[in-house]
Amino acid sequence: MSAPQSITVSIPPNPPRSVKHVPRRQTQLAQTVSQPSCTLIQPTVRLPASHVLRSGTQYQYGHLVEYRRRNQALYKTFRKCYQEYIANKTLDAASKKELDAIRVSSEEFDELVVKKELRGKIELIRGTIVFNVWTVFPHGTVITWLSRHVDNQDTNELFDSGTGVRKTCLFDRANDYRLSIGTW
Amino acid sequence: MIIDYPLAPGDTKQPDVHWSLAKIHIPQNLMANFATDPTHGNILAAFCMEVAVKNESIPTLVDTDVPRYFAATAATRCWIGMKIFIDESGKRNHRWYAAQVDRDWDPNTNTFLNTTTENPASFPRVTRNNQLLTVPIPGRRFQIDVQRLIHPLPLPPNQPAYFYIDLEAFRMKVLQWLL
Repeated sequence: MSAPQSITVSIPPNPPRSVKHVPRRQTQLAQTVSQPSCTLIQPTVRLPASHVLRSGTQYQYGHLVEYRRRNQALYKTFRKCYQEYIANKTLDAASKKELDAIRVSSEEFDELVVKKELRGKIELIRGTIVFNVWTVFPHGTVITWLSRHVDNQDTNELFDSGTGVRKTCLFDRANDYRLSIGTW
Repeated sequence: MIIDYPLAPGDTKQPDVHWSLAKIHIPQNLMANFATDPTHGNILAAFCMEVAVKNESIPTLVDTDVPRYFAATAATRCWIGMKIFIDESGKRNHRWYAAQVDRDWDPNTNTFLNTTTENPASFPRVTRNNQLLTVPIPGRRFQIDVQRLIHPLPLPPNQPAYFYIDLEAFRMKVLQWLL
């Protein structure tokens, strides 16, 4: 992935609804938009460090305010699926197809699921959000055994080990096991 | 434990287990030798494992996944893949496959290449009837060169030069789980 490029654009007077925390007068100013090369990530809007009122008073901001526009399509689709999942513990095929069509970045998954500590078994697997997907025994058990086998030989703790799979729970690496039938 | 570990920038592949060199061991002047994830600044994994039971077939595991692990943008220097074939007939004739692949090293230029070599301890690639889990393989093990994983850092004085995966111990453990 190449480094983000900075370009200057003029934001229209009526900002998109998702940028709801931006005061109207500020949006009329020229803003810097950091345009990532990856299309999954929405542009980051950086507000100017200061602005001048008509009275001539200049306000200096003590910090750089950054807004990341929410991927509204993803948010809506995920919310619909999540509500279905919580209510019925399953998803209908149409909702699943809709969600599967959207590629999700780690950052988006963080915002949608991890930071909100949502209930249930929700994972990001290869750019797709999946609900209630369980590995087949002994998948998780093998992972844990191999991990421990190597870690025990790393006497100087040269390495940080972990699992690449995004999970809502830190303890379900050996996730072949449900706590009991019908539970998450 | 570090979670959220894409294999390489822009690649959504996520290893089942990974080891990346702890930043604390890397002097600032050598930091540039270790690729990082631009999003989080994490050092990318040098040693990865992929475990498959139901999900990945051997062609996916070996032909599709391995090139991704050793792509130019990935930092993988050693990969181990394990596949357990569960016998669903109830006869418990479970089978398995294990392979180790290392990134090639050019001693003349002192650089890692984008080519790989399969470790001789790897199981033969067959289209059917993989190794039976009940057949012992005493002494067979994978050997992971720690110096290669941490290059260009020197090996700490009391650090074992190799990590070993004892395949016979692993086989017995899996057999025990599946009985």
